[in-house]
Amino acid sequence: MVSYNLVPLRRLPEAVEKAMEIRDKLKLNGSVQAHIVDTTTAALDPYVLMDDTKPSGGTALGFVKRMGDAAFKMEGHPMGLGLFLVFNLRKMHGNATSAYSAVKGVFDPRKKINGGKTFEVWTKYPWPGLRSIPPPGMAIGLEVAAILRRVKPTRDRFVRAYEHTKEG
Amino acid sequence: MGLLRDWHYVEKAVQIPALAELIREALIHALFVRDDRVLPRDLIADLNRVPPVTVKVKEDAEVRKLVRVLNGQESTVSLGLSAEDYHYFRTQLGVGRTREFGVTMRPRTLLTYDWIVPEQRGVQLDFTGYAGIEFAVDGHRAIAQVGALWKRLYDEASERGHLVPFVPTVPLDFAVGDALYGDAPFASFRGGFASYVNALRTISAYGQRARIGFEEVANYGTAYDLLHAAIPLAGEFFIPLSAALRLEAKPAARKTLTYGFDDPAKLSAGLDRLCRFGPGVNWVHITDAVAAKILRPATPPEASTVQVSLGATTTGIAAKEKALDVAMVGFKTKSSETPNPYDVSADAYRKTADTVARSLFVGEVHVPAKSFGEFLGKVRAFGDQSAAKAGAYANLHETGSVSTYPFFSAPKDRTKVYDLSKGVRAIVTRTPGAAFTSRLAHLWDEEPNFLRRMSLVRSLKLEIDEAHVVQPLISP
Repeated sequence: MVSYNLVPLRRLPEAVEKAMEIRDKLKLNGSVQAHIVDTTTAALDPYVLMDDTKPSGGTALGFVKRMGDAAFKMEGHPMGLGLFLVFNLRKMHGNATSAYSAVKGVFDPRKKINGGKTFEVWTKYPWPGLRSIPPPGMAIGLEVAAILRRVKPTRDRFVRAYEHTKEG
Repeated sequence: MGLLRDWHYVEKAVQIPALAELIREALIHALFVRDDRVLPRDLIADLNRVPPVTVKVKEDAEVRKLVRVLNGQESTVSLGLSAEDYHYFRTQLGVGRTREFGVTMRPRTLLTYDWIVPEQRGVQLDFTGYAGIEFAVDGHRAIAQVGALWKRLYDEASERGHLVPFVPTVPLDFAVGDALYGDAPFASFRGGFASYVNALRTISAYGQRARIGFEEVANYGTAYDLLHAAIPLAGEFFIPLSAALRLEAKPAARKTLTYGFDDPAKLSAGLDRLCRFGPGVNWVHITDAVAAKILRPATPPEASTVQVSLGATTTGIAAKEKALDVAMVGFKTKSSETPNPYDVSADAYRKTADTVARSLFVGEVHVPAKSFGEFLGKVRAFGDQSAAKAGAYANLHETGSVSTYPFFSAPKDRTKVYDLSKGVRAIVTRTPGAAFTSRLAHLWDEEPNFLRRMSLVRSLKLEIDEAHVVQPLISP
């Protein structure tokens, strides 16, 4: 799973450290990639392995949330505002958020294109109240995933395999 | 700069039964040149209304308060004006009547011409005194308030080891804000002005501080790219106050190489090759003989002059120059001593800008580099036919397009501007791959997809500026 973030170029070393710190805290196995975008911006794309054969695999999503929060703290921002990261919209744009919703409203008034993924979260359930959930709901879910990940007593088999190879 | 208001006004005016007989272009002509014999009385009244109050902005809090007063959120008392000013403000604006008040930004320097339909009895903001520039100490960034002069930004950045990559193709004394709510033609070889803007600090129609984009990093992947969609018309959606600009490191060695061409075909071929030049070119400025004479009166001009600003390491610059000579093969003269229009003292720049500003500009023409020489010839011939000697300033982009600003030695009266714009449009329609962008060109354009796009932009404006404060649209 890859987490895409942009951070100020001057804070790239700090950002790399932070990515490794979050990865280790969440007991994940992964790596940090970065590249320079322009004279002010660096892209930080750390990735971690997700064991989707286990029920606990999804908790690795918490890494993306934590990395996004770290990018904000460093005056940068996470990239992408899909289903899982929609709650970042207001953090990103503050008072200008309504102007972004206006773009959607004008170009896609019937919400036919990628609906329910940028300004609100639609679920697959048709029942009122569950049809769409407020974006902060996703933030809570991912934060819970990160906490579960942290308290998980065992490491993923990827981590174990990697450590085994290293020792061998 | 009021494009949407003018466009909306024309769109609505053609629907008036009394004007339905008049063809669209005749109406635009009458509105533009103020032919009051053709126009109904109500339209003449609209064109005569100008903003009676000008506010000289010193800090953003003033703008916030003003917007909140204009959109009805606060009373005029909260402006804290003296009794005399308070009375003036209320009477001039007609506060108390049931009408909307708009706010408009006055560009410091206009390249072409003013908008057609003025702000109707609203407030005009003058940002001349709002001109601070804040350079980052730990990176190549700056936050420039909209009133800051480009030349000052350029010089101060250079003193601090930065390079302002974008330059005005027509070297007038523009402020940074003129690119946001005016028509300042800033560009570099690698991109337009917008590509160097990380964020805009603005005041929304509700008087809130709204930052569009990110000041320290690029704006990619943060929902729709509203920043770059809005920049060319930023003053239609928000009140821009500052721009967070992405600068570059000042190269260890810089050189301006000047190539003279006497053959338009060789010039076009050289520019076409130059588009494929690797990194190192900061900007490519092109002038014809008339423009060159204005910029460098002491130097005998060639038919066309291409100035290339190169930046590289001290050891690498010689190799770059050699490669450039190969790309520009076919030139008649070459010099590395000829001064460029930008690296001169502020006084000299202003003096030249005053001379440049005397010419009549009609707008921007994008021409493929391959056809530039031919286009220049056609503009020159058209100028001779119209008894208005023609010239051009241009800027080459690495995309292969030349952004050209034709000008004419003619008095700046609206009829002349209209006729010359029409002539340039006729040339552009006969030049494959060329496009004419100007206020009049936009109003003339009746291509269905263009009209659909404009209609979407108008809807976007009405959504973002729901309070109808930022250059509000008016109907005749």
